[in-house]
Amino acid sequence: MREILSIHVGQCGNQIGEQFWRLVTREHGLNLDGSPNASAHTDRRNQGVFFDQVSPTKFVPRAVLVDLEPGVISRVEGGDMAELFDSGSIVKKIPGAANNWARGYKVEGEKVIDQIMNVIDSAVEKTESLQGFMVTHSIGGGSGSGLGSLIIERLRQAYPRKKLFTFSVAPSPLISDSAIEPYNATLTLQKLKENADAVVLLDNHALFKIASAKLKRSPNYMDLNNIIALIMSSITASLRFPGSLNTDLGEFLVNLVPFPGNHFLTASFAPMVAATAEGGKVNAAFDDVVQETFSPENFTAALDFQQGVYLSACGLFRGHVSAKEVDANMADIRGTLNFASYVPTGIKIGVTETPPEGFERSGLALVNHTGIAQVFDRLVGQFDAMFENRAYTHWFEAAGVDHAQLEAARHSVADLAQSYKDAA
Amino acid sequence: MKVNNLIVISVGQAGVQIGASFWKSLCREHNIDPKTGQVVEGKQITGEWNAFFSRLGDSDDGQYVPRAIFVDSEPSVIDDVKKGCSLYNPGNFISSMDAAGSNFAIGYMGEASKLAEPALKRVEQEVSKCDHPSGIFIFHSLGGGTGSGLGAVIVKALREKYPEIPLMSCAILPSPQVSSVVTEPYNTVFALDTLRRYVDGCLIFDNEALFNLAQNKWGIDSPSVEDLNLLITEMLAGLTASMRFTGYLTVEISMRELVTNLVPQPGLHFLTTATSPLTPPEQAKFETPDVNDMIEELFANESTFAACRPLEGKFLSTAVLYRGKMEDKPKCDAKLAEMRGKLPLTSWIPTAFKIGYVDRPGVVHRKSMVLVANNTEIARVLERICGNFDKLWERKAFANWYLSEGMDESDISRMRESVGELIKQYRVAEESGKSASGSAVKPEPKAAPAPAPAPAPAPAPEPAPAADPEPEPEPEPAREEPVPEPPPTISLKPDPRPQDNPAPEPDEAAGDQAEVEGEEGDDLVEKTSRLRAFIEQRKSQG
Repeated sequence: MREILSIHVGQCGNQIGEQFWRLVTREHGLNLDGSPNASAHTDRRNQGVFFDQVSPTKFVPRAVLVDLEPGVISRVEGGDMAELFDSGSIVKKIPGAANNWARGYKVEGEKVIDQIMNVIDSAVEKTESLQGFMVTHSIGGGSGSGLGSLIIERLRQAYPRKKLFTFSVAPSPLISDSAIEPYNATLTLQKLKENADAVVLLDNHALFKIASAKLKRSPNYMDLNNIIALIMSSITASLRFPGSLNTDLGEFLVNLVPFPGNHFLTASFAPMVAATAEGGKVNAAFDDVVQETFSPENFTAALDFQQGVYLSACGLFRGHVSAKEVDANMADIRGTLNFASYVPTGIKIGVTETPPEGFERSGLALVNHTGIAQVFDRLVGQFDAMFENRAYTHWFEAAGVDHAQLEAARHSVADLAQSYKDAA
Repeated sequence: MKVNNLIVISVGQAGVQIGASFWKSLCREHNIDPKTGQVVEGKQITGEWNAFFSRLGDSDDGQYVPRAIFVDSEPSVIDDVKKGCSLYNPGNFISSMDAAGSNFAIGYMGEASKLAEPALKRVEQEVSKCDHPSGIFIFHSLGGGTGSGLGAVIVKALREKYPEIPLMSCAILPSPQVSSVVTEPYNTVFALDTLRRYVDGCLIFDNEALFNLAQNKWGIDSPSVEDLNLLITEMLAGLTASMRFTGYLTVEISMRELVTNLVPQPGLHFLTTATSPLTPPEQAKFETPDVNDMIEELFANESTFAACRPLEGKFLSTAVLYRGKMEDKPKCDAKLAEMRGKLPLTSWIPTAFKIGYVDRPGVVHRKSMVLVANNTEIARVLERICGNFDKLWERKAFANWYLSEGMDESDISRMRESVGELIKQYRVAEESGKSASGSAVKPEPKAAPAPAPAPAPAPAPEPAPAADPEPEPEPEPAREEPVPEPPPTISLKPDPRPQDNPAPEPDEAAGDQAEVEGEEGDDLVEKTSRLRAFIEQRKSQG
């Protein structure tokens, strides 16, 4: 079994986690308490990727939930998923990082990191052949960014050969969560650049736009997190369900990351319609699904696809789709995407027979596009405006992160942006 | 269950009154009977009561006790709070008979300062009852003697003893038009020096601004102290809501998180506040304001709880805390994003918006919002106070009350300079943070005229001025009616101290609000207006 361990850090990370596990339990025909749903006809062969079977009637998510402030976790513990998670895999610690990366990474993080790593180690021990980790967090706040960085760094040290995928919610250009977001995000991006194998950048504002455009109603945060959950589940679908063109995390990476460090991706899920209607399934034509999957406005990061080129792209389709249909459509798509001149080959494709819950078929695109440099440039610009004036730096100093470390992170992210521009 | 706990220390008369009002509001929100501390008959305790309360006994029907300490240098107001109420721990009431007589020095180093020690003992005890003490509020006014002097001693001692616990002062500043105490400028400046150096954040309130709000928005002809305190406590309830309730989209904004977002540099932590809606409380339940209007109102000059006009300065940083139905969140986000384009923001802090949501309305409004802002206009408020200080100090008027308690002139000059530096730091911050930072020393862009090697305290004739009943110019009792916006920047006297704007030097009479009266030293209270009568009321409440 090629297991994946999910780690949810911070408030945002845990909200995504909650939504993700709701979806995945349904996909695997499980009830919210982890017992198999007798009426579901699910192929359980690969269920072990995400679930540890502790008894014939009980499956436990391979997940570790970590937050400095227990808010969301408490809700998970007290809500309808109370029975699902192993209480030993939940780490909640009190004081909170106060929106400050340095407190999450150093002051508070140092107090809990050993405990967290122990929990992760014992979760890893329950696997046969761990494939890698999926981390969800936000990079602008304090816990997800600071403590998340620390966890990612330690994971890389402890498991150098395991794949490390992160789903990182980046600050939105329009509305910020906190005044020191640019510092937090910059410091986190540096750690992600150095330690992660792939980072799927998500932006609340982009998600919001997608959701408002497609849902035909004012979206709420559940909707946004649901989009993220669909993306996460689709990326891993071919590991979990049988299919004609299977891909695993490693294969994705080989195809998506042309140069070390240039592993910041953006994703798109289609069809993006309200997956509600009880029992009903969204049945969109495959041609439309493909078009929507690769349409620029459907991607989750705030970048302009007109600026820059595609370095690589993956398409993963779920549901009953013939290989012929896929090939025909993808040839079209390949023609419309503006790839870097030195990337002659096509788009990596995967097909899985089992569609997501509520859909007949769906598409997922993972794209490495040089336009992502805009996201970094914007952050560096905000960073500079503040740092030149020594705004808020005292909070970082007080928590053990000095000017030199901030500057180093800034340069690292600026270099990252440059490397993307050079790749164009 | 939240594990962050907060403690409130009320110092001096105004502090104690605000404290009493604050705890009443909190009790109501958590369904605790404000008289007995028991859960209200037929109701359940709500929210994370343990943020601000401890509990006697282990069951839900035990008594809930505020983590509150009340200190005053005279007993009457405290007695009033105690009367007919078993909510508080009686041991946490500390008073004496040595009134601080509107004199910072008595509270700071004289008789009344002795209350600091027992007060700190009680704090220690409260801290020991906390799982994780995550903040201490200090309620006080700065114009009198106890709140400023004793408040300063307590603040300093707390900072030394608990360097890791964030301290937030809620300070009432003297009003521009009215003052009940001639020595107000002294007391305020001295207290500000301490607040500048030792607290993490200081919320600034102004009686006059609150008075106007109560009059104009609540439609109360002559608002009472209770009305004004209600405004303050409603704001504080909103500010602390996320610390007291949990919910799916409720993110706790702890005191540390709040100051982390609001204070871009050490010392720049003097914050203004506002709330919306300002519908009269009894009318509130019939009206559901629109979030867009609420946000507009929140940022309007007239809504500010301090005597300044934020839109004329620059916002360094803001926190908007919404409580109520969560369905408004996207709309609210969008409107705030729009606001962000319209407000005067500094260039050097591009993301200065912190937004918090609590899906739990307060008792009065179904939706409400609190704005906490770090705005450079606060410098005007400070300048006004310093201007009045300088007038007094130039003649050493009333100085002997302080000197005779043991303060010396160099201390006084240093404290005044300290506040001057704060003003300068805010002025610089309008355009950049450079040089205002504590570490980077001052290559001032707006060069101060003279580095002033030693601010020789003026050619003060006799260093030991007596009670000095010398009749001051005595501007006619400025009827505060017409002057819509009296130039709040009182230009400073040609003063050895470096100041940014010695430019507009109008005749003192024009903007003069010093109200220096040539009365006998101990008869300090003036009665010239309705407002003044109001302040009287605050003084004599009880």
